[in-house]
Amino acid sequence: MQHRFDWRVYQEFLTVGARGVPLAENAGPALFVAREGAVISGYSSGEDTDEWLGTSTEELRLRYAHREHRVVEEADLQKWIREALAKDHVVDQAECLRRRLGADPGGTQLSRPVAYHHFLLDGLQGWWSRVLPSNYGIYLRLERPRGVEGAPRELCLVVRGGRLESFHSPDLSGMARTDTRGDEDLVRYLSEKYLVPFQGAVIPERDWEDWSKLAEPWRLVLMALRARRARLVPFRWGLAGLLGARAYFGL
Amino acid sequence: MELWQEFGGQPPIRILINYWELAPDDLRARLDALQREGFSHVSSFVPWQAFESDISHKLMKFLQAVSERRLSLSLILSPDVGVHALHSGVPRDLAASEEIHARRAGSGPCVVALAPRWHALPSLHSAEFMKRYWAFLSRFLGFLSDLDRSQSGVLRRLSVSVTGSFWKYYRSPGGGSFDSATNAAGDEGKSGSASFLKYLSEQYSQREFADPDAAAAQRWKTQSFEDVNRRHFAQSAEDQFRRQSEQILLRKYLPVPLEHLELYTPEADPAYLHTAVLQAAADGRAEFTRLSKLVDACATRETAVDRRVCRPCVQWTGFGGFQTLSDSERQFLLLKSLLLVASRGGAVFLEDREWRRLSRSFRKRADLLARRLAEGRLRLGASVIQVVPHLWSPAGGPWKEWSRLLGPEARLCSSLDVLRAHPETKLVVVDPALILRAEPARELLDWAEAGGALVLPQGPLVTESARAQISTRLGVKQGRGRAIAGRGGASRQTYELGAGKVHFYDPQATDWRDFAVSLIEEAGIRRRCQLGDGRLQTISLESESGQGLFIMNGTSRALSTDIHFAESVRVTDLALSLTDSPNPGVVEPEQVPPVEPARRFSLEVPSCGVLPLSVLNSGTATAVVAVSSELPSPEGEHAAPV
Repeated sequence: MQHRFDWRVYQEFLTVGARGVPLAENAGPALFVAREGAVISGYSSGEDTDEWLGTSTEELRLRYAHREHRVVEEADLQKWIREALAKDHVVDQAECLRRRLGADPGGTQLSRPVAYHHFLLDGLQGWWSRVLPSNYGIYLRLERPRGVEGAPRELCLVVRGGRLESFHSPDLSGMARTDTRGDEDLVRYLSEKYLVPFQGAVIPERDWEDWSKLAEPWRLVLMALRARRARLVPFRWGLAGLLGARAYFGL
Repeated sequence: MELWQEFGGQPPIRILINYWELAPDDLRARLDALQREGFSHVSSFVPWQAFESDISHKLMKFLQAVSERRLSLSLILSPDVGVHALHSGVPRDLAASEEIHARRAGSGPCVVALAPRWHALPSLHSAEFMKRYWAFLSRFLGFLSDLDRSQSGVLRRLSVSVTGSFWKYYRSPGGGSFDSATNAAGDEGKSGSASFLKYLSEQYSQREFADPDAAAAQRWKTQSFEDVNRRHFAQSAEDQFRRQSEQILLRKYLPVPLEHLELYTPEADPAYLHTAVLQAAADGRAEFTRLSKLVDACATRETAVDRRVCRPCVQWTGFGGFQTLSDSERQFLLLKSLLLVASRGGAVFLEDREWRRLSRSFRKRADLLARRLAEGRLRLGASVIQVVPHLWSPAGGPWKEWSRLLGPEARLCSSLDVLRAHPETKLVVVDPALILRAEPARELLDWAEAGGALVLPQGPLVTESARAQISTRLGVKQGRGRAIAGRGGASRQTYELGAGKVHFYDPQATDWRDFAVSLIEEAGIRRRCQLGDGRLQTISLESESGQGLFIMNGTSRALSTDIHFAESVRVTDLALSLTDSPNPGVVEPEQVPPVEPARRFSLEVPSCGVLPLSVLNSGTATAVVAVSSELPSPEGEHAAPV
């Protein structure tokens, strides 16, 4: 039973903030949960919110001035969690909650989003979604630097009807075992297995990690493609055009 | 020697293999890697759904692969929140049925916010759910019996485990800490409520409650006792679940040993739910401090089923907040869990991928410590035990004060069988929410008579027969009691009983400090050291020659402090005794570096650091300091945000 939703693999590839990024660069607002005017829980990236438990929301507003924050009522959060339970997987569930947390009913706008999207997801879910097919797959392989042991990391994303349907390491156990199988064969195999057109990309691990820390690394992506450090499998001019438009015109 | 044999079958670090999500090649590679690293034992959940839809015989192949490598294996059969599968491995049709979801009255379904999907927990009170679950256990037993007939060698090193399943996660979310008063426990959904009514009817139809007349039984069912009854009901339901699981597995011949685990997953705790979902939304790191405190709360809980203590276990998942923490934070939590549970015969569960993410040197150190703990030479005792009606509900009365003064040496238990396992216990406290019946009252009085200090709440939660028994044995009517006043209403009435004492306390008291301190001193409970900085925590393990003292810094900065002892002691690096001694855990005098005995030592503990010290007995007497009410509070000096 292969997992359709492999959260670990997803995080290894598509998380911006979880590891290693300096707090100041990407910290979203602190989030607190209140019941009857007192804080009962909270979360603040890089900070411990424990000491604020039991504080009145008024006092919190006065004393927690060093960082933007939002206080939500427990009943609202519980309602949003129940809403999120209807989603298929943790990525959609977190996104559902994120949207709720970002829309402040009091009219106060948060100056920063609750979380930043990974650049790849940002691209796929933005303007590109109008030109990309509604069903497709993406295969990413991160090559380790020379001399570093271990198999390359792989991720397989399947989008159907514009929604992220699954994310996991590709299961290649059904693929014919030959020493000469190339990346093209692998992408073709995945297309046949999941019945959607697949686009593959083979990228050096270090490049990917550097790009993942940035909101708009598209120029670096193009440079890596030009320098043949990274490659698209198969190479599609249309996709290269989209990358170029994003890198130079922000589209 | 194999770890399995060396640890009497119970390795303290248990590596989990998720066989159902691995391709055969990958599975073999992972087992080989573990074997190369010296492991001779692995564990795995058996997700219910995966077992029922196992058309490619993955479990069988897993058992064969494990057997071929001569590894021992324990399979956890109960559905649990730490299973990396949709709906914790529960069949989809059951998990999707809102009718059978567990609920809390004010907060809706009981939710677990772990990957791959946040989900509502099913109610283990649901007859439909349980009928299917018992059928699953029977099928599993059939599977083992078939294997026993056809390939008995595969079962040679196999054991199965039963856990407390979802019960402890039926609690209100939020509240920050485990013992928050708002964090009440129990399933109040449709099935839970129906079972509760049935329980009330059965429980109070017993003769003991109809004393002095049948109308007296009605008193116990009134609204004012609802919270108390729900706690008793929650514990009774969980115990019944464990017993019935065991009965089904033992109904026919079970060809492998069975053990009971008290498995706890801090990342799935309802007290952490709000933080977990907000963290997922913010795409950030987990709250390390909160998780660390949940380990503390879990470490104070201990239960038993039919005279067998359930092994305390902590699981850190590879798909929750734990894996977002920094290396040093993960190492700290692992060491802390290991010290707190393995020193009580328990274990820490970790997936193989998470284990390999740790540095090689850390893995080596943790493994060494685990071996020493498993040998039982470093033990965490229980000086004070508070008997509660439900293990996973917040405890009342003076509990917070015991916990503050004695840390993990104060214990909560839901069964008196735990008391039998702790001959070192000097003080037993009955929780104000416990309904004291005649038989437990007799056991407790016998225990006190043999030289212990028993602390009972005054109030109505005593059956008439228990009350009569207590009154007669203590000579209450003869006025043998002695009243001792205390601050905040915490006065007590004390009676001598044989070699021991029985104290009565007022559960309505507000200030327990003097009360707790005086009882601890009277009972002869001593703490060996005091730290100058309340942000540091100590775990003190007894060894034959003295004490293994672990000073834990769970903050993000290095802390310098003094450690004070009542008498001059010799202190050395515990790591020495763990590695070099021919008698591991025991420091030989010639091994000790020439450090002058002293009463005060200065220490610097790095951020997320654990400083292991060996405190050596001077002659036969071990240096101790009396507990005082001025001990720094764990939170006391931790005012600035980290």
